[in-house]
Amino acid sequence: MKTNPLFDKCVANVAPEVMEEVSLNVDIANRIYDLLKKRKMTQREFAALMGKRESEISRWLTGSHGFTTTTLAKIAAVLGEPVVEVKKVPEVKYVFIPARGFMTPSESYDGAFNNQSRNYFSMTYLN
Amino acid sequence: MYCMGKLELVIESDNVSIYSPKFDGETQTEFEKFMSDNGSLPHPQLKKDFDAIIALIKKMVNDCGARENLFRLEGKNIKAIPLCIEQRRRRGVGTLRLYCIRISERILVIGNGGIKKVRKYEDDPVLLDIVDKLRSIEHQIYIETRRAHSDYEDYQKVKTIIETITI
Repeated sequence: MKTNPLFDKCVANVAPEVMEEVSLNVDIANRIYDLLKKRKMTQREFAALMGKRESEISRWLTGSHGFTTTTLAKIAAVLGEPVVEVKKVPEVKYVFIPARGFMTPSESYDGAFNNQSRNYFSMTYLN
Repeated sequence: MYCMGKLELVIESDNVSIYSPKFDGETQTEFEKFMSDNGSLPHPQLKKDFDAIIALIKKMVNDCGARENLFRLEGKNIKAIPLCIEQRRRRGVGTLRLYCIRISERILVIGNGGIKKVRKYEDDPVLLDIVDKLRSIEHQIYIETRRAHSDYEDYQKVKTIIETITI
């Protein structure tokens, strides 16, 4: 491992959102490139299926393009696999237990989270 | 034709080894000169270009290496690091470019760069000189690699060549 003090200083001056944007653009570009290789599809064939010029596809693959969800959906349809995936976190429901007066995840509560408990929760706080 | 010098290892990680030419009598490598000269450009668009270049190199170092698809071909094995951020560009501002030789996914030689205001780098004498120097270096690495009966994918052999040649 070798680092460079001047480079590290430059990195420290880059706004976190720029780092994130570049990282995301590169990840998407790499993913499309890998899917094209997997499908043994040339950039020209891909461009034709996408209705784009080959030069535009080439630019996409360098990571210098910000994709819209519409374009990402079309790429996924053409290549048969999703390009990006949104992490799905299981929903955690909270219920109010009047006797104790604190919130707890619904998994630990054997009753359903219903309108009645929600109303009680509101009333308790309002009063 | 050019000053003598060496290729100096500037950054290394598990993903990529980055070298840069350092000419005799100079205190900085070409990549360090690029960072010193362009690190505080006053125009916000050019500042954003610089940050995007730095962020891309950081991404290569930390994560994906010098993947083939991430470079813009500028002719005869010389590549430019593209700007990984799309933005509206005001006329006359130009774009910041950094030129390099991509040997393989694990070896990258970064040269100098500058603001490109012309359509082709050949029309700018400063940029043309940077690219010509890199072209000459790439030719030397290629000749030495051939002489060693190797190819650019042989990481250890090419690394040894790069660290020993005089440019």
